[in-house]
Amino acid sequence: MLEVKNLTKRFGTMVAVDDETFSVSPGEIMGLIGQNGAGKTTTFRMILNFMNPDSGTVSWQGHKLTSADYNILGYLPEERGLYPKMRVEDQIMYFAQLRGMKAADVRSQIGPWMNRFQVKGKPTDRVKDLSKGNQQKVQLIAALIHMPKLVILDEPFTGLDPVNASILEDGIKMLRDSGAAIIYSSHNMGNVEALSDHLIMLRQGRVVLRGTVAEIRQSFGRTKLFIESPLSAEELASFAGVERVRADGARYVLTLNDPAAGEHIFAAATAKGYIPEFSQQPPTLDEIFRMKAGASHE
Amino acid sequence: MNKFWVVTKQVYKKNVRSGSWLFLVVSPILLAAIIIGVGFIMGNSAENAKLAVVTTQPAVTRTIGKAADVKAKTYTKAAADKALREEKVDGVLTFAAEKSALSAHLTTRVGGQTIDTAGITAVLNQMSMQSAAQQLQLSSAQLRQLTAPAKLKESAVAFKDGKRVNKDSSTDAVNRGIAMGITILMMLFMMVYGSILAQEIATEKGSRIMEMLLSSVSATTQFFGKLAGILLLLFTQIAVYVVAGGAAWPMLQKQAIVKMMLANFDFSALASVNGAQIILFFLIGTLSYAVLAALTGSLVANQEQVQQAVMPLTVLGLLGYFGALTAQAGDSAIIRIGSYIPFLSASIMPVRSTMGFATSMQGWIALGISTVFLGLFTWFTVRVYKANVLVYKEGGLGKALRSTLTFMRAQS
Repeated sequence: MLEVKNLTKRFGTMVAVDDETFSVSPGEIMGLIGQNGAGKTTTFRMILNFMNPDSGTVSWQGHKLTSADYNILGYLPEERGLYPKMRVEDQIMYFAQLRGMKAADVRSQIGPWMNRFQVKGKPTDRVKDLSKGNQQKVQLIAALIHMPKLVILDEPFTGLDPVNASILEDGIKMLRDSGAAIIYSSHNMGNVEALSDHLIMLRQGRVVLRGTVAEIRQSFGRTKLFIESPLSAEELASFAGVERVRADGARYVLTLNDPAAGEHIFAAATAKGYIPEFSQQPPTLDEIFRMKAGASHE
Repeated sequence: MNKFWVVTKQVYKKNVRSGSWLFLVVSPILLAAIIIGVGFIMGNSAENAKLAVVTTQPAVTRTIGKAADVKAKTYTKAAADKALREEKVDGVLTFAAEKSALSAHLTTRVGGQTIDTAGITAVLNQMSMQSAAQQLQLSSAQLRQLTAPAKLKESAVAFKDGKRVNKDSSTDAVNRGIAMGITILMMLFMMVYGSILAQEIATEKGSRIMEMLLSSVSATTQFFGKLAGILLLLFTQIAVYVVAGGAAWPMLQKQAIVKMMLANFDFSALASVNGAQIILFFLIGTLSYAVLAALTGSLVANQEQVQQAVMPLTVLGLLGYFGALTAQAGDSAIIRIGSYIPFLSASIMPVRSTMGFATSMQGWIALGISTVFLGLFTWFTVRVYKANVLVYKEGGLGKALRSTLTFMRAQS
């Protein structure tokens, strides 16, 4: 299990990470969200031992992560790079051998991994001859082919189209099912909702949200209401607890400051019988992200 | 496989297959082959020049054929003219017996092979002298006495370790040549391999591959693995030259310039203190440049700055080179000081020693300074190397180094 306890890092007067605590168990995927500069990459770098925290600890299976643990580590940095003139297979071979894999094992695994990520190109192709998306997939293979037990992916979905993003999602799930503890950052809340067992959100280095996606959404209450009924916008706005009413085609989208208002609206809307839509939901992760990120500017 | 060797092998394999390295290795061989080949062809064709000798004495033809680089054959006047016309021979030599001296006439065909006239003249002189000696009834001893050339013997003196050392001037010239060769070779090797390493690391840093590498292998292992890979590459180049030189040796031996150098080369110098110092300076110098290359390479922020990483190497290399050139002209205070400064000493001190300007003790002192410096510099660079990975400072290596040092202080 990866345990991060009370991690703090300052650069001069700027606090990059402030008393951050979380843990990721084997077979679990944790999403790390936050705006640019929220402290995600700094967190990763402290886990990887690239920089020392000012205070707090990082431990893996109860001990400090050292170079002896490098072979169980899989890391994809935020900015991507490969050796452009090298052949795909040589590149993967080099990174895999640096993770302690035997050459014969790498050779037998390259084909299946290229198929899994649907890389368009041959193992003998030079990296620079592949498209950007395919280069990114090669780098992912280089980071994951040794089946790491602790996986750190910094913005892995950036630059991938929806088809390739879902291929990557499958790859990450496969690693989770093999027992890896996975931590990744993303700006795409769709990916985060689909993939994360739990997540934390950082704002200015501090954890402002934590839990499963469902828990986080529920904690905000069912403050979104989608309704298609005979009631007019004015009628809807007149209910106590309704903050805002917005027309969306034939339906209205209501923002509530009191979820209890939903019950009264439902009763009034269905008084004359059937209505095609009534759906009271918690805010989406995307909305929560905007809400929480926006709070930093207030 | 040990991770150190994985890194070493990767650096070696990647470069050994690269076009630029192959060119670096092959171009001097090609150049030498062209120069020697041209000389060889010219030498061969000169030997093949055919000369018709119009004489009634076949012994004369034989003497000319043996002493001069021509294929000589006896002809009658008419047959010789016909052979010349039909381009079967390149020249015709006819004799005109005069009273006192032997007189001959050489007709050469325009467009024919060059005839060794110096050789023919020498043979004719000899024949003329012998016939004169016979007429004057001189004994062979008297003839030798008469023809003995005057002798001029040259010697140069130098003072080494306070003692007077006699040197003959040809050895001195060869020493000068060797010193020059060492200077050029050292500059070439240090700068070329330094640049390869600087580019290698700068590319990894600029493309962020470095972050992936440093999460799989410690900075120290990676650093020394790369250094070993570069050294292996250097040894491979030297080995290629040794093998190529060995294979071409039978042909090389026949070359006039090689013969001249072999005759004047003091082989004992190789086994001397000076020889050992040169080899050590070469190793320490190359390693120092490689470590500097690793340092500057790891300071770049992006691929565009790679050339900046190579700059300090070029500047230091050129300084050492000019220092060495100046040292060959004579000793001066600046050169004396320069020969103790790390980076420069590797180029300057061997020249000073070879030229007899520095004692072997001074050489050892300079080597000691360079070695201690290399140790400290490597220790410093390994630490900076790791910290550098996270410092992406646009706008110059100096700024980047300052940021790294600030970062390192904050880390400790």
